Amino acid sequence: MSDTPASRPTPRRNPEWSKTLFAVVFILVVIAAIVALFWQRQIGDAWSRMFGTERVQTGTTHIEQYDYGFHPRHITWRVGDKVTISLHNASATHWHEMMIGRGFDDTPYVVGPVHTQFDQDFWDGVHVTMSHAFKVDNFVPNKAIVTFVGQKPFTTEGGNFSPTLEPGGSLDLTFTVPNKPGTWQYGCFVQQFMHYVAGMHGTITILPAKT
Amino acid sequence: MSSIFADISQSEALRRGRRMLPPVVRGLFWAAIGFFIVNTLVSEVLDRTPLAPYVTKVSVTFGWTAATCGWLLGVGAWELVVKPYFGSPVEWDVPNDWRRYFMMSLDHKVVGIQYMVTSVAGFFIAGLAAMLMRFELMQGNLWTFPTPNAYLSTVGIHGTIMMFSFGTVMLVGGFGNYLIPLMIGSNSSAFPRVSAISQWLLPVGIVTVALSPILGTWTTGWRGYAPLAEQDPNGIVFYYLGVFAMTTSSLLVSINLTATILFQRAKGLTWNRIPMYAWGILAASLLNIIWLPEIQMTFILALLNNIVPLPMFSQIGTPLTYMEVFWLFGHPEVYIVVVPAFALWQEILPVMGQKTLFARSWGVLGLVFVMMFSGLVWAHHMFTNMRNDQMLPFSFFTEMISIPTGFAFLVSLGTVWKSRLRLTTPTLLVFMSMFNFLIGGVTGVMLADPVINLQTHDTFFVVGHFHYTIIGAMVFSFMAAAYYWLPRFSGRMYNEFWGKVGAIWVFIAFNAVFGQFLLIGLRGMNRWVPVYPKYLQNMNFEISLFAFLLGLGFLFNLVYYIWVWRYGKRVDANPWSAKTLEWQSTSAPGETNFDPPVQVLMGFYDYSDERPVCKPTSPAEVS
Repeated sequence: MSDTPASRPTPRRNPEWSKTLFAVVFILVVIAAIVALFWQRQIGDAWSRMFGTERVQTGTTHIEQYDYGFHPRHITWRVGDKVTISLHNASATHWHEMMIGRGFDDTPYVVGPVHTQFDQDFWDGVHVTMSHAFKVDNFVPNKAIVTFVGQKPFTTEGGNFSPTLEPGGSLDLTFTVPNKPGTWQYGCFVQQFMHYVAGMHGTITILPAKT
Repeated sequence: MSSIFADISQSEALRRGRRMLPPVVRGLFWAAIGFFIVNTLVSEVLDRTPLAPYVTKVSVTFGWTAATCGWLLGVGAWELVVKPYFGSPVEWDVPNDWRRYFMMSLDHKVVGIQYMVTSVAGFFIAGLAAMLMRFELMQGNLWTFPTPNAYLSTVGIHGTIMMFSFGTVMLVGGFGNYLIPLMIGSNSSAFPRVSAISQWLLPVGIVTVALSPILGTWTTGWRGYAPLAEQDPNGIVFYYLGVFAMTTSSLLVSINLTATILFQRAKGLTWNRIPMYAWGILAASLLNIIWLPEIQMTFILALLNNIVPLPMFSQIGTPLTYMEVFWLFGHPEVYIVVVPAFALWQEILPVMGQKTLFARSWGVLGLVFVMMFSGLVWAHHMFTNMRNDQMLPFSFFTEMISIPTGFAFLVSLGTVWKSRLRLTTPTLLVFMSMFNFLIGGVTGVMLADPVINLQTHDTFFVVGHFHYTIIGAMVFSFMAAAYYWLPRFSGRMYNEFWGKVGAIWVFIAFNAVFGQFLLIGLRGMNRWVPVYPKYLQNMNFEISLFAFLLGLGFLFNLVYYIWVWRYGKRVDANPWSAKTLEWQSTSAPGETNFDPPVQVLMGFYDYSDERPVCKPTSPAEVS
């Protein structure tokens, strides 16, 4: 059997398609796939480092938590601006927290150190108002000075400033960006750092105050 | 039959008009459009969550489905399947050159070669993943991969692509599509459009699984264990989707080849004359038809479990439920892999010895009984979760299955006995395959024993065992078949010296790696860990070196094979003096196999009878 079924005498198109076009598109797609597979996150981070600083966010910054990541992964604030983090756990199954800090507190483990939390807590000494708390599993204020508006969630101690949300939970944190310019990380360390390992972290760029 | 098809030598007539877009490019383009439209529809309209990312795991599931449809339509299903269905004439012209391999084709030999190339590409992608794993395991700490999850994802990608795009596909979709219609004297497979679609689903599956880490890591391995999968990041969604594409591909191939063997046989090719390889493909295809829908349903439930989400396998049912339904498919799966390999031994040895196949009916019985027993043994994968009295029947049937497996050995050995055996590369590879599968089989009987099973569970002893059965039997038999049929595919003959160098290279490296897997497993090396205790360091380091040697050995064979296909010494038709029908035709891809159709006069395995096995039918006999 031939591979050309023909029920009409003359074709309307020339079937000898261009091999150059085929080769170029094929190679480009392969390269794009390999780049996306190995360097997707790095490229995304580099992109927002280059272009993200121009989009300073004021007012409310919505942060969605899902399995396992934050959306957005990059935030830019300016010292002295009054901002609100509106945090929402979009996962239907998992508990998530949000810490902000720098460096890591490590516990040694067989596969290398487990980062239990950030070494330096961004929230130290920051005046922050928590409102609209909904399905908050627990909240650790650490050294932040917290004012509660509305329902006060279960508050506990141990570790850095971190609200832990149940699936579908949400809350707002309103504060004036403290004078701590530079790059900060945020992440979820739930389930012994596994959420963080799976990609649940992001960066905050804090620009110096306008003079 | 040729009258309804275009005369492809009239290439001047075809060159008129505007050039068509390369089908693969059009397929990629339509896939991108399909993904964009449906993903947007789901994530921004139907399942809109304010502030959520553009690609969610729900939207990517539907977007992927649309992209797959777009791809299939783009590479040719639009002209070959959809438009003719609604009554339009078929407007799909396949140029008579290499381009036919990069577009949808209805020729079973073209589809066979497309399958082989895709499947071998999957083998080398998964092989690269294995090389990365061995690189990591050269040291006892985490040094190649950034996280344990990245290592586990690589293990999963290796296993998934090896099993679903090579193990179950190469001998069935690849050699099966090319050779089965030829071997039974037909000019076509039963459903050429089905096999064309199934072939183009395979690259979708391979690419989806290989690129799954773009969505996130997954830690379940090729088994997709729930409820562990529920804890995984979104990469697991691409695992389910990719496996769905690949299993659908295998299912369609099996339906097509079963129908081909049942209904397309040449005149005179009665049931007791069906070639051994066709028996093997029939047995494996029936296993596919029985078990693939079962596992597809399980994976669909597990996918819904993940994206809806549903509480299955944790609150509803137990984690053991998933394991039961997975291994209910998972164990027959290894016989889908290995039954065609047994058939290949029995196909190649009588030809190389020019001696009648010994105890042919017992060979067929062996294949069929392996197929039937394979559904009775699944729970031996879960002895650690069972009571003693539940283990015994599974232990019994697992050890029983070595009996029909033994038939394959006895039939092969009986055929070799006192034959004038030509020790060619295919013969050598068949013997290597038998040696390896013997080790795989004996360690399998050991593992079927609960006492040993419970001690060695989840160690490298098990990993060594199943690599002996699958690489040992299937990959070595595949290489034997590849060299055996190379003159048929290309009209050229390899050089015995270089063929044997390739075979011995792979054999030594393979045994050095997986023989030591057995030993290091007994010394306490666990599966699924990127780090291990210090005392295993030296042995792992050395295993990795042999593993790289094995990878290079496969690469050497590939390069040599392609070289021979293009530049090897030309050879006459039927250089092995084989009796099966594929050697009685010299049709290349794009040409008719048997014109006029043939009538089979006798069985294919009696080498004492000098008369021809078939004759052309006279035109009067064709109704």
